[in-house]
Amino acid sequence: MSEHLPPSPKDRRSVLLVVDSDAPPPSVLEAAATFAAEWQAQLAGLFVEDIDLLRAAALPCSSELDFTTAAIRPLESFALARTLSQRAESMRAALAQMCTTSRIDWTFRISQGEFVRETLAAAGEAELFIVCRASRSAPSTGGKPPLRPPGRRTAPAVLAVLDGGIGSSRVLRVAARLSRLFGAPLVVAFAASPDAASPGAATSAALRTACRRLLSELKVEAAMHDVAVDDALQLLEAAQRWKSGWLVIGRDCALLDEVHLRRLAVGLGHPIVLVQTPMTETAAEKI
Amino acid sequence: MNLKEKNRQPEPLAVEQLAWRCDPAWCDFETTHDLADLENVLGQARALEAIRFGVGIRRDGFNLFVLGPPGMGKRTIVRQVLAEQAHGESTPDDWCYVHNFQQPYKPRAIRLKAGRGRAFQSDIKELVEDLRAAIPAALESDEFGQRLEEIKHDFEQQHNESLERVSQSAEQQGIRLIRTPGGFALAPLRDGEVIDPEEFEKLSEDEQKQVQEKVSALQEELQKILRRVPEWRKETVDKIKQLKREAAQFAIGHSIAQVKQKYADVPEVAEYLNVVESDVVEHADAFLPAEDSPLKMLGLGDGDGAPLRDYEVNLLVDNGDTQGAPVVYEDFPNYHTLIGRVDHRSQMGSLVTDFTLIKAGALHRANGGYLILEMVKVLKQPYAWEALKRVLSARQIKIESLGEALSLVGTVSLEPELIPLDVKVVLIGDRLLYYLLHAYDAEFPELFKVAADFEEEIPRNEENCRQYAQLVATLVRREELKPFDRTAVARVLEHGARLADDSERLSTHLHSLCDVLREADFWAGDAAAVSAEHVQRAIEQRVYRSDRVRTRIQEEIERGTILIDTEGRQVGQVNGLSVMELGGFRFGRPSRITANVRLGKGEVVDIEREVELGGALHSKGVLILGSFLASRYSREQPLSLAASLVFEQSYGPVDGDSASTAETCALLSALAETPLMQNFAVTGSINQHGQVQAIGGVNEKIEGFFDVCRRHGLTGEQGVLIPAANVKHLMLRQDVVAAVERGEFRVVPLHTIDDALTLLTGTPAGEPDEKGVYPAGTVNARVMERLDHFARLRRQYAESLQKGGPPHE
Repeated sequence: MSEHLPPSPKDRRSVLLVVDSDAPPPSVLEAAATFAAEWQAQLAGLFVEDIDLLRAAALPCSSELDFTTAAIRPLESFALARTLSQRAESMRAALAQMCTTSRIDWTFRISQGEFVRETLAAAGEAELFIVCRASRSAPSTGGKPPLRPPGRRTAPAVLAVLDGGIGSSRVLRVAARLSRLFGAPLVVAFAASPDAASPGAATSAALRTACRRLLSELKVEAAMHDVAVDDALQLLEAAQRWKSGWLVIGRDCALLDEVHLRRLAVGLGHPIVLVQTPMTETAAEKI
Repeated sequence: MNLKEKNRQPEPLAVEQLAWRCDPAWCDFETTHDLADLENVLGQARALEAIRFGVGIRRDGFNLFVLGPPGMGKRTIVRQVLAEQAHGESTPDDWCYVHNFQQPYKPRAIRLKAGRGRAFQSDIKELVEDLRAAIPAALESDEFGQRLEEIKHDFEQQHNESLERVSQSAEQQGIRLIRTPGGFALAPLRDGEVIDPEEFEKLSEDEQKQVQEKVSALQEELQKILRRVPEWRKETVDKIKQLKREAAQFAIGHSIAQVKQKYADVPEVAEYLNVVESDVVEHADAFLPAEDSPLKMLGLGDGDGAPLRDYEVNLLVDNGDTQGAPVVYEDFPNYHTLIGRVDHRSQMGSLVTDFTLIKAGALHRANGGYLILEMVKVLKQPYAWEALKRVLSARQIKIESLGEALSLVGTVSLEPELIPLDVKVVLIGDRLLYYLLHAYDAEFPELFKVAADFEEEIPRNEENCRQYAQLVATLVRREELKPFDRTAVARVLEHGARLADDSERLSTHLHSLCDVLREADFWAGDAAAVSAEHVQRAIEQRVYRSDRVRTRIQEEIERGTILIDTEGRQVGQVNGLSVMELGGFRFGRPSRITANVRLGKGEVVDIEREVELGGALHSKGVLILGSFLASRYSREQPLSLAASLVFEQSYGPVDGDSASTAETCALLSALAETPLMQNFAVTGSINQHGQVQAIGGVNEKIEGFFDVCRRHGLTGEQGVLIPAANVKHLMLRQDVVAAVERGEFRVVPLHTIDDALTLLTGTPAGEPDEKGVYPAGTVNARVMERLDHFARLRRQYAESLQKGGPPHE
């Protein structure tokens, strides 16, 4: 399903925001709109109705455990469809308001299928896509928060994973922008295969130098770490270690095949920002 | 009294008996500049001793009631005495109200040495300011934020890991944990995806059952996890709270310790600071900037800082600047200004209150000292007197609204802690109030045991005259008037005697005296000193401004509208005298009194009483008159007359017995058919023996008749007959005295009714011989004859009635 907007030219840059059953937090919408505005790109919203969820609801005697009460109740297809429709409409309305206010071209559609597969299928030539999947964590049940929201300096970190690939420069720029936008600390992880003889050796050193230079240009401070990652689980552990609230990673990163992306999307509980690798490496983008 | 003296023609009074004149030569000073201030209070030794006693005695109920007429300077004198006493006494403590953190509706009272209350308030304010900086700095520090995130992260990790374990376990069993919009679902897999419902239908019953069992088992496991989430969340919240407490405790420790050390000697403050410390640690959030306060967003301005109001100190009584004990005069003593009140502020359309809105009353301010109140003002304010009595009885001040005190409202309000009361209350009022309260209010004598009764007059002796002159000098200086020379002072002294209505006494009515001094100073204009002439003008002008009604009455007498004869003779008619008082101005007014007699049964009809215009005292005078008639003239036969007495052209109430002498004269004139001289006016009351007794307002009465005679033309025959007992009260106007001196007017003292009859008829009244028979031709003899005649008529009338025919002479 698509909004009735004028078709964008093929070479038009775009930012893709993919969500599933939960409406995205305002910060995610803000981030997506910010990049779309700054890049003069179109913001494309995609609401994925998870096929697994729909099938589960259609199974006989399917049931659901309530988050807040732990009670078991029937999971009905009709009720589920209605809820998903409402959530999609909420997202569309939020997107429309944000983009209208910021004068950004936008589209919105709903698809049905496996979340990651649909995401990757929709990614196409998008410069950036933000994946925001419902967390497994228990949602807030309201009431008085235990403490007022922490100041900007205590916002969850932005974790940028650099593998030295062709898109590392863009990954770092996007992560730095997010860090400034939300006043969040920036953590740069230099990813290397655990199989490498000496992770963080010559290549890593060069990468660090280039990274520092670029961060200096961008006037952003960052903590830098070497990390040996071979799969999504190790990346998840790294994210937990540095208490990330955003994960920014290159689309061409070897870790991001369909399986790993699925694990990350489910396990992280916060948005993943995938940065498209440029078709050609320019001097400016090369670290 | 010797009966032989009765018929002696009474002699007019000598000029010097008509008024006391103060010879300026008596004064040993030129002007009041030469006189020192009067150190004592003139003529109030008894009252002063009572006040000093009342102030000195420190026992329950020994409060004072200072009584006397208005204008005596009671308040000023009381203030002076109390100020002297209070100066040497210790300054009482300060009182503060602070928040009661355990029972917010019962604010706590804290007592501190004088002056420390202000410091305490300031220290707490400074402490709160320190905390407003220190606590946000601590709670928004990187370290605190980091620890906070760790706690939150631990919670999320614990939650996620548990779910991940279930998820992995499920995957191993071919089941997938799926997030739904409202929770979790578990669904069987085939080829890594949730099985299609149609394919699931194709499974055998056993397979379906196995799947169902696995799902049920996993659901139970999941349920256990979800049921523990609240517990984990509570643990997390507790950890965060504990973290916050530790951070806040660390942040405030130094600041609060300093204040604690400063007030270590005051256990109440030390205890309060401990409670404050605990509360601050518990409610550290209140010290963070309230950026999202709803009230602030609405522009109501009460959002910021409002939560910190609990830590304020309400300095209720500040004796920091008080020297000695406080002396408080409350000008408007109503319920709340006496015992204090709890104010309210409007907030979002509601009225709210807190301990900072507790306001002190006069009793709080006077606590440890003296409170001066005017009784009439206290009684005029609803419930003020009851509240004052209650507080004095309880010896502690309870602040509650009138609504609460009367149980008119049931809303929850504050119940401030009671404050012990140690105050000496001095009530000032007139005598009537004192006597009424003493008679009808049982609590009054218990609470106000000391009465200080102010004298209105002092004896006119040399020492008192000297002090009076000093009093004039003191007032002149206090009022910044021109100096009064000796003639002026002498005239003021004379006026003092006139105010006292007594040539042998001086008035101590300071307000009247002061007013004359001020006005004399005004009339003195550019003169260097005020002289007798200016004082006289002040006195005359005061009269002139007030005597419009008197002038109108005299004009109407002169024009013949009001019938008053000042010459000639008339049977059964005499000039009586009354005093009218309008707006504080008293003047005498002559009235024609007439009498008629006829055959009757001994009734003397007082027409004023019959029409209810006569007061009780007037009626009493007429009844005494009747009794006198019967006892003197009808001892052995019935009094066979009927008589009517009336104040002619009197259209208002008449009271007092001062006309009974004149009424007796008119009645006896009518009986004796002997005319009375109209060139006299008569005043005085009589008793049953015919003695003439003293009356009030003698000066005004004489002057009233003098003014009428002057308008008609003074003949030298005119005069006023007054009771001899009133001679000492004479302080007549200078013009009256001058007329007497010229032989144009007379004032004659009377001892008995016979004196009056002899003078008014020009015929001896007559003295009875041993048999009680009056000499022929005397007034009394004619009265007896007429009464005998009436008695005979009555007997004949009775006999003829018995025979059935008309009576004949």
